[in-house]
Amino acid sequence: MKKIFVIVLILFLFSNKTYAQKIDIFTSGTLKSPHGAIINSIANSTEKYGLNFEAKQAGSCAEAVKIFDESTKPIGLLWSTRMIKFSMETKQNCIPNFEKTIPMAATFQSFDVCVLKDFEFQNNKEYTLGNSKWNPYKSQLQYMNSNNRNIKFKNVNYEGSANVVAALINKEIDVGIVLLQSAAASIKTGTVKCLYSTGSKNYGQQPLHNFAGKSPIAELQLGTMFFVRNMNSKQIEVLKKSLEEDFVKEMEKMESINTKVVIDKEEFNYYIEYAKQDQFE
Amino acid sequence: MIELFFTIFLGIISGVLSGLLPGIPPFLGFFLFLPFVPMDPLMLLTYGIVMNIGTQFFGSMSALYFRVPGETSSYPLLAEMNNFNNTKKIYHAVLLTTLGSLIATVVAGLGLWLALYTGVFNGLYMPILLKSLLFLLLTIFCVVSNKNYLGNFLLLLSCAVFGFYPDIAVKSNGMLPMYYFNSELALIIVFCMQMVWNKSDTLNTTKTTTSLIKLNFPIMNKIPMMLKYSLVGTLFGLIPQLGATISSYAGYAWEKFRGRDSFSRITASETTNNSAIIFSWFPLLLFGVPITATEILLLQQFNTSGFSINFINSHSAQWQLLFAMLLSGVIYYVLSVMVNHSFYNILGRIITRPWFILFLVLLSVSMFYFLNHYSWRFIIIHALIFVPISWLIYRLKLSIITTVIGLLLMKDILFTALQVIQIYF
Repeated sequence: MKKIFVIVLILFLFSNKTYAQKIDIFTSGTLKSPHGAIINSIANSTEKYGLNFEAKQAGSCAEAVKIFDESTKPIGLLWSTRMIKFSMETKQNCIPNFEKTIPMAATFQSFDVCVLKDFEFQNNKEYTLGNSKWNPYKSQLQYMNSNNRNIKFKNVNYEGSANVVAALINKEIDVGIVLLQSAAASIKTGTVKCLYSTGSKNYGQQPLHNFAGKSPIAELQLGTMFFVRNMNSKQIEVLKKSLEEDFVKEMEKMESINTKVVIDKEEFNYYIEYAKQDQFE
Repeated sequence: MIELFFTIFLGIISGVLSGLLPGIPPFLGFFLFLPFVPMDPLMLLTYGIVMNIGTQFFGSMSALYFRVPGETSSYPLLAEMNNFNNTKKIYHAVLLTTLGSLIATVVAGLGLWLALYTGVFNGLYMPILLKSLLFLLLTIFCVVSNKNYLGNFLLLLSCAVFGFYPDIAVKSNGMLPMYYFNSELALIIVFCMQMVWNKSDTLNTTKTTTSLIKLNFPIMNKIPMMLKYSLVGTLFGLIPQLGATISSYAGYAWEKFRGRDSFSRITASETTNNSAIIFSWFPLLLFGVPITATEILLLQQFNTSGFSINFINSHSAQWQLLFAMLLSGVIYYVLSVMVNHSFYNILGRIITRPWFILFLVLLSVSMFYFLNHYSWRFIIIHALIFVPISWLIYRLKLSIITTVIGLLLMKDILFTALQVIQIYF
């Protein structure tokens, strides 16, 4: 019995991907965030084409970018468009050397205003507004308070969008601003509904600017870009083909919007400009 | 049906591995055999739950036999390890904790099934005030547990600073790593150093620290207590993310507060965490709200595959899930107690040696390095900070469990307090 166990364990260890040829993908966030799911989708989309991507967690966004920039092997980086603002705030370098990177894909997630299924906004009332502490919650609160129905909001911070949805269910807060992916399961079970969105219409949401008027924050989406470097032209071709085939569909299932694979120079500049303009607090 | 058995089998292997290995938390354990799980929502859910149950069963095995906690909820066991100083006591602790875990699995599994089957708990939720009350009680237990009130209180305050460490790291111009500072790595260093120092004390003296323990160890009289803590654990399981960990400390702290022996303390701890880990699935299955990292990953997998959690409304799916939970509980029990008895006896003789503890410290540190790609700077920073801290904790006779709760939970305790202020004031 013991020998069989040892043999099985050894076989498992040596058949594990750790010992196979692989391409690391680092993330500027954490693997527990939506970045983990996006990396998983990249790995799934490209596996059948012989590319073996593996998710790696660095100690911080600066560490991830440093590893990415200094690597001499093929490597990937999942990068959030909020990183330019974050770098300025924290004086870390969370911005890769764009000169030497190849942008492969970009995808966006909307911010949605969600409530419990029986909830309706009433004029002249005050509500608690839950938001992730990683979101531009100050700007979003300011926007929500600028409505002309005399509805006032009081901010409550949470660790992430999933916690905000849990707080809605727990009736700790009246309204939550979440990334739609975190609320999708609760919407499908009929517990939660999303009324306004900065980009998605998947669940009948209205544009957020219908709530308090046009504003850049009412259109803000969280962008994620996938960069690679040190890959040869053949690998790049295979990667493009595999992402074009499955990645867009996978992202749609994850409630992402405006997913784009194969990015030309003009589009790349547009995305970086978008990231630079995201200076919301 | 074959699919179900195969999934249970995969869940059990993942559960055993992620429970035993300290570098693999449950959410990473979920990935271990995920590619082999049949693409069916019930199978994915079964795999996740069975794997999670295993982490709690074998997290305590790892702590008892290897003196390295497999999971964050296993630290109370380590706090009592000096009271289990021979193989007979260790084996008795195994019997108690595994039986407690089995009973908790049955109670919580049945509770979860009943909630799904009847739908009578659909309005149940965990208000933030109740969560705050549980945190407050836990903090009080920590401070008073070994009557060193001021020392423990100051220790908690110090941990609060570390709890907010990521914010300090963000402002350190990239000099300090951000994640996992309040992690198992720090706690492993603290606990291992405690055991090394405590060990040298017990070698120099003839006194025993287990005067409360009789030579023949009863098990059956602990069953009512196991049932009680199984029910308590279900309540704690509703706390997002930390249900199993908090319930484990609360059960332990309450038994310690009441002056019960070491066996009662670890039984309470290991029973509550098992029922909590099962009941933590309740919000996901009823409301679609994931409250643990494993559940978030499962839901992401569901989204990617186009599955909806609504399938759980089918009675057939509910029965199969109950069957999987109960069967895996029994298999984990058998694996923990019967098959490996002689293997554990040999291990028990080895692990009481100081050199083995030091070896495990090195092994744990190496595992963290290789698994997470951390630099040596990160590990040296941890050692430089936490070796002196663990020495201070030992010399000042502070409660070791206060350190654990401080490092793991102070951030959440303070964050929850802040949320209460934001909501109500």
